Amino acid sequence: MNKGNYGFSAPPNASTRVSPPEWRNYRLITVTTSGIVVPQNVYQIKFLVFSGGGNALAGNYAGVGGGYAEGVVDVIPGQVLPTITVGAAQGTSSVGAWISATGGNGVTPGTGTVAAGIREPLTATGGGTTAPGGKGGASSGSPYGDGVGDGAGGGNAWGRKSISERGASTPVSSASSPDAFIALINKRGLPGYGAASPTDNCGIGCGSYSQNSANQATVPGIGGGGAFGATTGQTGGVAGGGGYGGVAGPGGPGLVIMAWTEGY
Amino acid sequence: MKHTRIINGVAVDTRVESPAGYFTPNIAAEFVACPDEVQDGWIFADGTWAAPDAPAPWVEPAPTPPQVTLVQFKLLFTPAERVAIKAARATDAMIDDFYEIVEDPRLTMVDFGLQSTVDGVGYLVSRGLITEARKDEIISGVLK
Repeated sequence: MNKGNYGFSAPPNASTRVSPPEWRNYRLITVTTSGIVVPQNVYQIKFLVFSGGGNALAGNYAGVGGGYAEGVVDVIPGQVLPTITVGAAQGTSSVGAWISATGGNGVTPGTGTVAAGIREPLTATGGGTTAPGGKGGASSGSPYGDGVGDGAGGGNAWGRKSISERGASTPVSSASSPDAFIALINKRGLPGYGAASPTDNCGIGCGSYSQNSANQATVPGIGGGGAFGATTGQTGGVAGGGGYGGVAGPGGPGLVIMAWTEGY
Repeated sequence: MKHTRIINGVAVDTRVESPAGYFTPNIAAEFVACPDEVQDGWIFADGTWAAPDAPAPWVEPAPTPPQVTLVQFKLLFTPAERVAIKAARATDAMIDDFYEIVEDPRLTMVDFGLQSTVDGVGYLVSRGLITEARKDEIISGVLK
């Protein structure tokens, strides 16, 4: 058997790499982490990189959305991955020099970059902020594309505007369960929607509901913007922009998701 | 010596280590050296670093004055008030003038954001046709 330079067998189909039919395992990385070792029998890893969302701005501007980037990296079992940086609000998240997503900052939404040689690259830009006046935060870039700009009051979601701009009949996304993460990584299902009521469970990509008169009770999901609050703007979901309020809501933190399937 | 990116004049991604190898090359190239005291959120202007100011206090947006239709305007008064005002119009030119304007067919909405509208309702208080408390209720534009 060819043990290769790392003492392990060469990847299957090394000359014609293809992604597995499904990404079956994942790990959420919420703080900057070094020294992750590629598990046995794993030859490629997909990274989904979300930056921090933008803080709401003085002058009633909602926060912009963070950037997003993804790609598949060929690896060898036992290989030590480069440092995975997870940005705070407005900060950049990155997987070494392979994949980076810049944070939303001021009126500049975040964006993504994938280095040459990384397979299946995808980048998306966060939603922007347009005009002052009691706004919900913008949503981040996502596997479904660019984020949606600031909402009329509710935080925006990946797929749609906030509740106040789209009507009440659209369902919300599922909760952030393990199944939901696998669905996200494999791009199954629809992007998240804005929450339709204060009791809705904000799942992945879901923007928060707007009450426009008090601090918000519902929490935006990953990528969703925070809602406008008369007293305090709501913190955005991961990579989502903060909502504006008596105190400007901060953007959400970054996140890196790594996914793999044994045998591929 | 630290390293940071300056985005919109604000320090972002401030770190001690060199950015090379931690970010894609295009982003690593945006980092510049900065003094050790600089942290994320510091402002860079005219070649000088400064800590950010405290956030500006919240300014409550001024409420939009209500507008009502003529029928809604009349319904803001109680029946007794309407009858009393109607009787007073015959002998009080000020009240008659105010209601002539309000009832002008070219007028589509009564705007409580106009001082002349508030003064017109206020005159009814001075004539004892409504109370000051009722005036406040009426110019709030809320039908009951």
